[in-house]
Amino acid sequence: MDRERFEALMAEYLDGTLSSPEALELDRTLQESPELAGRAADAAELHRLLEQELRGEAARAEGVSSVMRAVARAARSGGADRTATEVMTRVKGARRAAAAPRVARHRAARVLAALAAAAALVLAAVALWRRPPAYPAPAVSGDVELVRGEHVARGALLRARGEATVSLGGYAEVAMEPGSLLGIEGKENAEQVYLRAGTALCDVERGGRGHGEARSFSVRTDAGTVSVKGTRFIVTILDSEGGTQMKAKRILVEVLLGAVAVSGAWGSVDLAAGEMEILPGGEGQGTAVAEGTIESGKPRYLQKGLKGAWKNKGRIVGVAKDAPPFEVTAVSAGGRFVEAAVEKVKEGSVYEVWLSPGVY
Amino acid sequence: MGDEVETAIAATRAGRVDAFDEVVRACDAELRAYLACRCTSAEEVDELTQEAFVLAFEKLSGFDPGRGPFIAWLKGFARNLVLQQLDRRSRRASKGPLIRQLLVTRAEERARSDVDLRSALRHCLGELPAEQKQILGLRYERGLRAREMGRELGRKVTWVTTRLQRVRDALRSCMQLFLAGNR
Repeated sequence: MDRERFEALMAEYLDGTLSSPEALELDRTLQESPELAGRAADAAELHRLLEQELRGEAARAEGVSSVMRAVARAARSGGADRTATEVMTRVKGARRAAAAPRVARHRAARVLAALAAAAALVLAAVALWRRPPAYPAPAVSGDVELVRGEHVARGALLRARGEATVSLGGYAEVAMEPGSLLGIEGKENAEQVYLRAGTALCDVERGGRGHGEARSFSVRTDAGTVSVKGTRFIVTILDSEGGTQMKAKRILVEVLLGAVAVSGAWGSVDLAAGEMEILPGGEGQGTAVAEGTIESGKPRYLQKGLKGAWKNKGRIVGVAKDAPPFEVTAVSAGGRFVEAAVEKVKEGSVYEVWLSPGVY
Repeated sequence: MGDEVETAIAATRAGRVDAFDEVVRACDAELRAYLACRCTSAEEVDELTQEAFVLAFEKLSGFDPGRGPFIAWLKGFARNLVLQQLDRRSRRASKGPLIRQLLVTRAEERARSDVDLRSALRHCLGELPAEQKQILGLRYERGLRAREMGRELGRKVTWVTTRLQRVRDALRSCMQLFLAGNR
């Protein structure tokens, strides 16, 4: 990779605007070049230091305020627990008093009754104070069209005409890219959406429990389900390429924070922050075989049955018969294998593999 | 930082939650610099900064001033949070961008105080020519991305990215010299 391309990719990476194919390209480059990997780490480290050093006073103040809001929430939570603990201690003390010698029983009983009454009052007050608000109904902001359902609720199907955000349960937000198609499913504290097309950026509040239950969030797609308990990630449905629909959709999952579990008919995989993966949508086979000589500049059919041909610059052109992911193996008459990664493969479409000219 | 932080910690332990604000203000910049060398996004720095402070607040009774300064104790939480995330990654080391691993490995191997890095950075920022300061100001103080900077400056994006890279290279060289001179 030349210097200009590397700098362009790093600039996009640092700006947070790197596309998924570019991210994969950058990753491959860093794996192959220790020198560029070192430069990338230098640039990233200095970039983050500059962000922190030069960020404005308002951002600094907001950072401190944000931390203190979180600390205050922790304090309130701890405070409530302490109150309940103190009450229970008093109740236990009362029980111990009830077990005291007979001579003190009447007095102990009065103390016990008084303490129990006080405890009940305090517990009731704590319960009232801690009672959570009503569970939030699904809500949408932005430019959306209701494809199914009469209003925004579970069962509704939404199409984003522009940018739109769906809020679920007060702990999950799904930002839809224009054109995306999203169904609202799930239930309280187990929110789920069904992404049928497009891209959704999901922001899920980390940890926490709602109404005493552990909260979860998942994105269902035709190709698999992404489940999380607190993170930020992007799911993109890869269902067409160059305007051609693929029979089996794939999903591109990019994890920005936290971790996710993705599962489908093909199995399951865990992805952590910074990772992205294109996951298969079906069980298609992934091998096509061609054989012959690559002759630069001379397109030549090899085998009619394969519907493939060697073309200029060692390019194999063929028709993919099965669902991706896909690998193509070029096999020589002498049995020597040459493997190449395949790009731009989709069901029923032309695929391309680039190989160096030569005899294989 | 020392006395004020200890006083604020004592007040927080005595039940004054608002006193922790002083602790956060005193330690925020250094903790963020520590995380900045190990995280892959500003959002992640924000998130882990918050988590580290909340953990420190919740476990404040376990802090022993006799065993070291508060900031070192606080960074211990931050380090564990970073390593937890890295650990999740390393289980699938063959997949995903490498920059995070590179950053963490480098930061751990370097074992240089992040305070030194910040000092070097501040010194070298002061040495930059006005034009380079302007470029950095647009990018980091105003938070413009390369495309937005290009529009603002009437330049192509490639011009902006090349300039930014040159400024970072110049800063990096200056910081290395500064750190070498202070050894």
